[in-house]
Amino acid sequence: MRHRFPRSVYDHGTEPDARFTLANQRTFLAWIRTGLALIAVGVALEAFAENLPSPGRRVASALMVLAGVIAPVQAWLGWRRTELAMRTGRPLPPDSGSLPLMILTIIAGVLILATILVAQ
Amino acid sequence: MSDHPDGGGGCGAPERRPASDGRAIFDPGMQVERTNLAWRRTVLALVTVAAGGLRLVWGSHPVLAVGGAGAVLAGALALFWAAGRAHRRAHALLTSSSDDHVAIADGVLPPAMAALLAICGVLALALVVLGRVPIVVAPR
Repeated sequence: MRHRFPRSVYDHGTEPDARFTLANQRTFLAWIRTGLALIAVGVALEAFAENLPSPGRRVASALMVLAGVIAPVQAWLGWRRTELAMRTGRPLPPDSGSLPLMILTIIAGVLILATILVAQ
Repeated sequence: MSDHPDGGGGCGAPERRPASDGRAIFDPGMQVERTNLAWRRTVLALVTVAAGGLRLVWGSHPVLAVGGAGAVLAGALALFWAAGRAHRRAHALLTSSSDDHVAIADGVLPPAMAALLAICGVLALALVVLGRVPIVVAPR
């Protein structure tokens, strides 16, 4: 039998309904586009928000881009966990992987707000 | 309830309906087609962001701009082609089989896409942290 990559997923359980696998793929892709948006916004903040003072602006920008780097990693780990749960008939895992992304974007948002208020 | 995520319409056994052009489709929810479109728009968004990055750092880092954008474009084209091939294969398998539990998932595409985006992100993060992102000043 030919082994499919990743074996940590495909060596377990049985094939789920193809619709579930496809839905899992689309959820993964939605996270990829979220990461893409985070990277684009982070770079745009640094490039276009020249009126914002730099320490706050650059840190907020770096946090956004960092969230954009974490997003694809989290997207793939989440895809693997969900695919494995569907194959083995277990309940779908909670979406706890997105917590770091939420925390990073909230900190970046608060930092941008504080920088705007201080710069007034 | 039907175990179809959407579009199943509560009909028990899956039915293979002919599309308007006479070819069979897998399910009324167009799952295969929607997934292929999701891949396409994700690749399109990636190419758009890479083009924006190329435009932004072209003046200050031409080698990095052309190399980075070229690598992303090559990866995006490869993913576009591979996702289309996986879609055609899944469509052929699902419309010719009476079983919905068919091995269609390609486990290589997701990590490839994730890696491509992570590389873009690390490049962008390096530019931001090192303060090398050109400041675009609006004309007054």
